[in-house]
Formats: sequence, structure tokens, C-alpha cells
Amino acid sequence: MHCTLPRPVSALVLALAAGTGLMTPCLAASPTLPPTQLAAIQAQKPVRTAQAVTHLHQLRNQFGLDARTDFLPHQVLVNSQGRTVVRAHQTFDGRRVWGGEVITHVEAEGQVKALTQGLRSGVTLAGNTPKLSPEQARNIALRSLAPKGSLGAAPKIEQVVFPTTFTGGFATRVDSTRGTTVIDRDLSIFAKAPAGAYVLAYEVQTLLSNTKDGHKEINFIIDANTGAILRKWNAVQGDSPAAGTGKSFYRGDVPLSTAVAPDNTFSLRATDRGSLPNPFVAEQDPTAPAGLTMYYGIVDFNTYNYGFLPYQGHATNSWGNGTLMPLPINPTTWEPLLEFNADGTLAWWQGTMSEAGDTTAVDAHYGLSTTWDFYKNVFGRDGIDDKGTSPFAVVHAFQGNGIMLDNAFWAPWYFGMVFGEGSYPALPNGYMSAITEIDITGHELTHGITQYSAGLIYSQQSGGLNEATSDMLGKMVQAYADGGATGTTIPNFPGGDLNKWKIAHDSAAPGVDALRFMYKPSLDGMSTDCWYDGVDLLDVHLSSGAPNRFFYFLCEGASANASSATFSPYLPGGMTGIGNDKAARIWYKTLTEYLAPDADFEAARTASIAAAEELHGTGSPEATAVVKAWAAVNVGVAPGQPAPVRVSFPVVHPEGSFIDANAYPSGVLAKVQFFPVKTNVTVQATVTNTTNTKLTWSTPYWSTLEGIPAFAGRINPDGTWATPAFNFYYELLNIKVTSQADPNQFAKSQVLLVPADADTDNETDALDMGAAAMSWGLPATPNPAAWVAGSGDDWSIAFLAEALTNAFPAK
Amino acid sequence: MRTRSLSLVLSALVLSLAIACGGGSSSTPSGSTPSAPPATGLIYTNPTGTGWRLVKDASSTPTRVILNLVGPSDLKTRGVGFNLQAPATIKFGAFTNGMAINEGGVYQLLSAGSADPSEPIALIGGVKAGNLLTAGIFQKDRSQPAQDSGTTLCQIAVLFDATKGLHAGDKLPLQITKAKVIPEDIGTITDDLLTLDKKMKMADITIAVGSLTAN
Repeated sequence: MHCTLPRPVSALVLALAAGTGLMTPCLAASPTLPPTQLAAIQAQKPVRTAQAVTHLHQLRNQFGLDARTDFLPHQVLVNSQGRTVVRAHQTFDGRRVWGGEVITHVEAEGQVKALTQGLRSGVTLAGNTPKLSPEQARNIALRSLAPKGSLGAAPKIEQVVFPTTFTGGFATRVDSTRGTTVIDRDLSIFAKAPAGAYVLAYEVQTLLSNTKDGHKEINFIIDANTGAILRKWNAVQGDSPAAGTGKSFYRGDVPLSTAVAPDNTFSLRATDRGSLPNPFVAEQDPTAPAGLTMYYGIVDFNTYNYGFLPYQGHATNSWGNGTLMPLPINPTTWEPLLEFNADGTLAWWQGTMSEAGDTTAVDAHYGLSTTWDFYKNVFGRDGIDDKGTSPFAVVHAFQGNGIMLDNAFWAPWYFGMVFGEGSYPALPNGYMSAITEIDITGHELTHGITQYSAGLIYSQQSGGLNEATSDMLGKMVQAYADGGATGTTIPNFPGGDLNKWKIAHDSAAPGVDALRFMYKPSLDGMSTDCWYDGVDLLDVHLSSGAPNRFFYFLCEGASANASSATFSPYLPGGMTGIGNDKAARIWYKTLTEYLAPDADFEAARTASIAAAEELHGTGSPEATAVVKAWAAVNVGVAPGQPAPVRVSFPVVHPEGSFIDANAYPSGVLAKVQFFPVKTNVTVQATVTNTTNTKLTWSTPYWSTLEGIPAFAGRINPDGTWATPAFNFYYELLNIKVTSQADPNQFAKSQVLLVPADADTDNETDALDMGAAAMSWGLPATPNPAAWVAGSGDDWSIAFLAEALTNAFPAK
Repeated sequence: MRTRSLSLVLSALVLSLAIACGGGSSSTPSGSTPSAPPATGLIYTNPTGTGWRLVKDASSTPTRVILNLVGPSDLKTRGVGFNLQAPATIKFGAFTNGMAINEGGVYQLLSAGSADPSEPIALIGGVKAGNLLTAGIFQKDRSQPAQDSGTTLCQIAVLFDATKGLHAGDKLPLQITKAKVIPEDIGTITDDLLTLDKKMKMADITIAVGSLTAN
């Protein structure tokens, strides 16, 4: 039986309603409209939204969508050109199609276009009534969640139509100790993909925020008919390790927007930033006022104390002292930073409310306020959701037992951000010294804006774009602040000052220059400078390197000097940048008006070119710069360049196959080849766009706990390889192949070694499959060797079948 | 170290025998006569007996001999696998499934009640170094009943290779080096591990192979 796979309607289609003719290519920049005209269009938002939906209804047949498909607008904005951009969820029989989205542009003159990249066609369901109740789905999710402490809130449950291509299995994460991407066993699930391309499912969102579990927002997709967990992910979009404190610790004296109470005490609440109350705070306290508000506290993850309290009741309106408070732990008693009584009142606060403790809050408050202003003044955006909802931010987040929370993250559940205490001033071993540096505050708030615009899925290349967007616009917030944090434009950084393009340069741990290097991301030893086949295998904080470097090149240009850190071998002649302001506007428009949730780098290239052409005209220097900047990171080619040599690994687990359908994220194992241990095999790779197809293989290796690669023999130029006799740490082996025609073109993948001697007779052959078959379906087996994938299910059968087939092909 | 020494001794012994016989089989096929005309195909003569055997399928052609694996009647099994050594002068062929084995439609390869085309099945067939075919077909779901083995359980294919210089009459010995079945009783899911350990044993079998000759 052939399985019909869910697919986007088409790639970045600009479609007009039938009968209105083809769209005229954009030949000139769209002019910025005067405020009065924009205000008039703003007032027409509801009408234009309805117009967009009507237009989409007219397109349904054209896109193979039936009348059961509808469109639910969830984001509407009017850009400076007077275009009303309507983002709508695709629905089917009233239920949201997971990941299905359409973007509609209503021009100032009323012409309507639809970007259908994220639309799903051919949606069908085997049945329209779920066998499971929402409560049953919730219970299944909670069983999997296995919380150690209490839930932070009742789970949110929504019935959705789920494209089974997103069914999950393997999850990956960065192991900071080993410095590599590894399998995340907590978030990995091994689900059997449903037979249909779409199933009725429940999305269950959970919140854990307690001393035993810490802060987690784990979401689930539960098959509404079988109860199978089809996907599981962490909704917290966090940064890689970071830490910090300090008010003007980073930026000297800064202005703060605060509030004064009737008793003449002050609070760190910016009443001019946020017109709607924070939904999370409002749940706890319906009387809580709107405004960007700083809290302190959160969680001691190792004791039973947690909670949030606002910075208020301050006797003066002067905050912090420019220094960070000393280590807030009594090393003798190990008293924690914060303790809360059962009624939520503060029992113990160490130095949190001291002047030095305030300093951290000041930096965060200033950074977030400036970020808010940046989006408001430069892009006309009213906060994270463009509706004025107030963000919630917590500083001095703490893990307990003397361990500072060495991180910062955007927490969707709170509609806010959490900034860890870090370990300043002097905890050793690589901890950062503060988390509230302004490019980090800008980074975290921008995660919120991405959530409320493109909604880039936080894995694979879309995840890299999500992270890069936060780096790019976070860095632009820094530039805006450097320029005085006023006005409607973004100044450039001082020419040649590469320190300005380092992420968390001032707050990284002693001995660590920065978290990331936008001008040359590979300087961190892990990130990529370019696209290559296999970039999806990287953690999103590392694959972000390519779009980060693209953005640097777009702003600052690329050097033609091969010894320069800003040289790209993919654009050896270099390029001239267009400056921060133009680059940021192009990317913001790309993010908010063109990108779909599952965009990859190529889609981002196409989208950003379209955005640049809209702003500056087709063939404009700015649009050309966008093309060149992408070419400089190996995405597309610059004008006049030949088609580049491409090296790639074949797709061995196509969509719909057992392995792909059960891997999370979908596609992560698409090119991972399986082989038996201790066998002569041939690794497959292909080269195109050159007559010289010779390859050079790097030494395959495991990433060890010690951070030292464990090498595994040698792959010969023809791909033949004597696999080692064991699988080290049960981990994937990293392989890399490089074109001899163009050494700058390479591909990376991973291979999985399967201990295939399932019948333990010291010979790997087809009879091993018999041993595996006998152990299938058993909860325990007398022959553990037969569970080659570690369990007695179809994974073992699939692993063994593929390993043996690869080792012993039919000839 | 002891194993390596033994291997060297064996290798030396094999080499001595090859030299004594006048050369390797790849250069001078066994049984060839200098005056025989070049071969254009293969002839397979079925073995006798009613036990496990490889018999020629009616769909065979002179250049592609399909061999059916048939077991004893009334013997119920859950799968069978074997290794078949062939001389370098012939090839094993692939079927439309891309493997060097074709299922006979007897064993229930999917789990009970499943119609999922992506479900992994325990069917494998390929060629190891030295032209050793390794093939197997097994039921994985023990809730499926064992099957009668007295019919075609799977197929393999032997191909004539015109590039190998075979002559009519050249004998092409085929030898089963290992063969096992999964018996009917392999315990139940409720059995304890000790019981399962006793019952989950693949049983050795002997597969009779006919004679293959170049023609």
C-alpha cells in the first residue's frame, strides 16, 4: 500500500485568486507610506483579514484543498509599505493542522497574494471522532512526563490534525561536556508511524516548575485514536550555556522606566512597554498591572522553594550599584539565594534585594526595555506579539545547592524570559559571569517575536534560523543601544570591530572569548560557517552559524583576503555590506512576512531576496548583496558564479520509511547509513557538478565523554571500510567526505554500527535475523544480543535488516 | 594469537591443494574440457529426497535459474536461513525487492493484523565476500502460527555470467555451509526467561542441493 505523504502545497508560491491574472514581478521598491495613510490601512485590518480569508477560500480548489479546509488568522500586521500581512493556521474540520500555515499579503491597493509554502494539501482522516478523550490524552502525556514534583499548571490540550511525517523518534541535544550533538534519551520516543498521512491527535502542553524537575515545558502530540505518543519536544527555546548579573555592570549608567506607587515606593515596571497584562501573571493575580516587569527568584531546583516576586517597594528610584553581588551562597551553611514560605512570601533573600542584587535586574530591565523600544521604533512592532502584551522577566534564577542557573531562556508559558544567576564572580570551569548582557536580552525577547511571527520549528535548519534570528536581531539591539537607543534607525558598529559581532563577549566565562562568533562561527570549535549536506545534524545553536555569518556579511561585507576571519572561500572576491539598518529591515521582513515554520536555509535565501526586492527593488544593490551573502555561506551562488560542486550522502531513509517516520526530528536519520560491526562495508556518497568525482574521507570517529575523538579505522577513497569490532558508547559515528575537485565542498553524516551477531555464533549473516525475530515482541529476552537496537521491537529488525543489506548487497 | 596461527596453517593447506590441482577455480572451472564449446547458460538438476532441498522453479531460464527452498511436508516452522557457497564463476541474482531472496508467501512476515507497508520484516538476502550467499526469511510475531514447510518458502537466483569463460559441461558446485530453522515451539510471551532460553533455539537442518552445470 502506498502511503500518501503530507507535503506543502508548493515552495514559496505567490498565488493569486483565479481570474485575477499572474502576479507582476516586483521591479521597484515599494514606497513607504505616510503615517496618515498607514493609519487608515491599520483601521481596515479586520476588513483586510476577512478579505484574505475569502481569497484563500477561492484558492482552495487550486491547491487541492476541499471545503473542510479553512483558515484561522492568528497574526495580522500592516507593514510600512501598507501591506497587510495575515498569518493564518490551516484548519481541517475546525481543527488546526499542526505546522500548517498560510501567509496572505493584502497590498495597500487591495490586491491579495498568498504564500502557501506552509500549507498542507491532501488532508484526509480515517475518522472524524477521536477514540480518546482529552483527559485520556493528558494522562498519557503525564505518564510519559513522569514528573518528580507537582505540575506548574494544568496541561493545555488542543485537538489537532497531525501530519504523521512529523512523528518523532530520536531527539538530539548538545552535550556540553563532550562538545557534540548526542541522542537525547529523555526526549527520544520510538513511535510506530500511523499508516495515514494525517491523524487526529491531541497537542498537550505541560509545565513543570518545581524543585525536583526544574523548569520544563514539554509538549506532546498524542494520537487521538491509539494513544501513541507521536511527538514530544521541549517548548523552552533556550540559549546555550550562559550566565551573569549586573546592572550597569555592562553598560554604565542607564535610564530606566519604572513605576512609582502611592506610597512613593518604586518598582522595576516599565508601564510604557506593554499595554496588556502578562497572561501568566494575570492568572496568579488578576489585578496585576500591565508593563514590562522585572521579578526575582524563580526556582531552587534542589529544594522546595520557588516563586516570583517583583522588584517593588524600593525606597528610591535609583537601582543597583554597578557591581555584582558576591556569591549568594553561604559556603558554610549552603543557605540558598532565595527561599519562599508556603504562602509565597519571601523567607530568605540573601543579597537579592541589595544594591548589588539590583544590578542584575537593572541590566535585564534596561536590555529588555531597549529591545522593546528597538522593535517599536525601528519596526513599528508593539511588543512580542505585536498586541502590546507585557513580557515577564525573572532574574537571579537559581538551581540550588550552590549551583547557579547557567542559562537564559524564553519561556513561552510565562510569556517571558528567565535569566540565570550564572556563577559570577569566580566559580571556575567555564561558567559565564552574567546573563543579562544586552545582546542576550535582545536574543531572548526575539525568540518571543519569532514565536509570534514565523514560528520557526526549533529543530534542523528551521531551528538554526530561529537561533540565528535571535542572534542577528539581538545584535542589532546592541547596535541600537550603542547608538543611544533612540530614533528609528540602527547605526552600524564601528568598522572593523569584530568584538561587536561576538555573542556574549562581555559575559562569557573567564578564558572564553564569547559564546558565538557571527563573523566566523567556527571559531567556537563547533558551529558551522556554511551550509553543507548534513548541517541538519547539528544542534540549532551550531547550525545557526551559517545564517549568522550570512547576516554579518550582509551588514559588514566579506573580505577578499584569504587570511582574514571575514573571508569566505565560497565568495573569494568578497563583497560590500549594506549596513545594519538595511540588513535588519530585510531580515525582519523576511521573518515576519515570508518565512514559514519549516523553512530551511534555501527557503530563507529565497524569502530574504524577495524581502530585499520588495524594500529596494529587483536587481538593487541591496538585493544583490543578499544573494552574495548567502552565496558566501554556500547557499546558492552569486551572480556569475558557476554551479558549485556538491557532495552529498544519499537518502537511505526516505519519507514514509519506518526509520524516518519514527525519527525525531523527521529527516534527522534520513542519511545515516547503518552497518554491522566488524565487517567490510562500503559507505556511499555522491558528487555532482564536476567530472572529478574523487573523494577524500576523514577518519570516522565517536565523540567521547572526555571530548577526545575516538577514531574508528579508515575509510578508503572508494568508500570501503573495515568497521570496528564494537560500537563505542552506543553512539553514532561521525563521517565527513570532501570533494577533491573543490576542497571547500564537503558533506557530513553519521553512521550507526549495529552489533549484528544476534545469534552469537561469531559470524554475521542472515541467520542472525532469525535470532532477532525470535526475540521480537518479548518484554525481556534470554538472548540480549538479539535486541540489536536495545529493544525487542521493529527497531531491532530494521537496524539489522539495513546493516546486513548494506554489508551484503545483492550482486 | 592461536586462531591466527591456525588460519595461516589452513590457508597454506588450501593453497597447497590448489597448486596440486593445477590452479584456482576462477581461471579453470572445475570439470572443464579444452575442447568443449563456450557455455551459454546453466543447467540445474534437482536433488532427490523429500527433506529440505533447493529445487528449480518453472520460471527459470537458461541464464537465470530460480531455486525454490522447500522443506519436509507436515513440518511446521517459523523461518529458515542458510548460507550457500558458490564458485566465483557464477553470480547470485536479485529480485524485484532488491535482495537476493524472494519470499514464498508462506511465512507471515508482518505482525498480526498489520498492513503497514513500512513495517520492518525479517527477510534478508545478500552476498558476502567469497561469493557466499546468506539468506533468511523469518516470522517475527510469535502470535502468528508456525507454517507448513512443504512448499516454496523462499527463492534465490543463480545467474550465468558470460564473462567468466565457462564451457559446456563445467560443473559448478553449490554447497550449503550453514542452515537453520526456527522451530514451531519457541515458547510464549508469558514464559519465564529460563524456559524461553531452552526453547528459543534455532535448529540445524541439512538442505540438499542439486547439481549445477554450465551448458
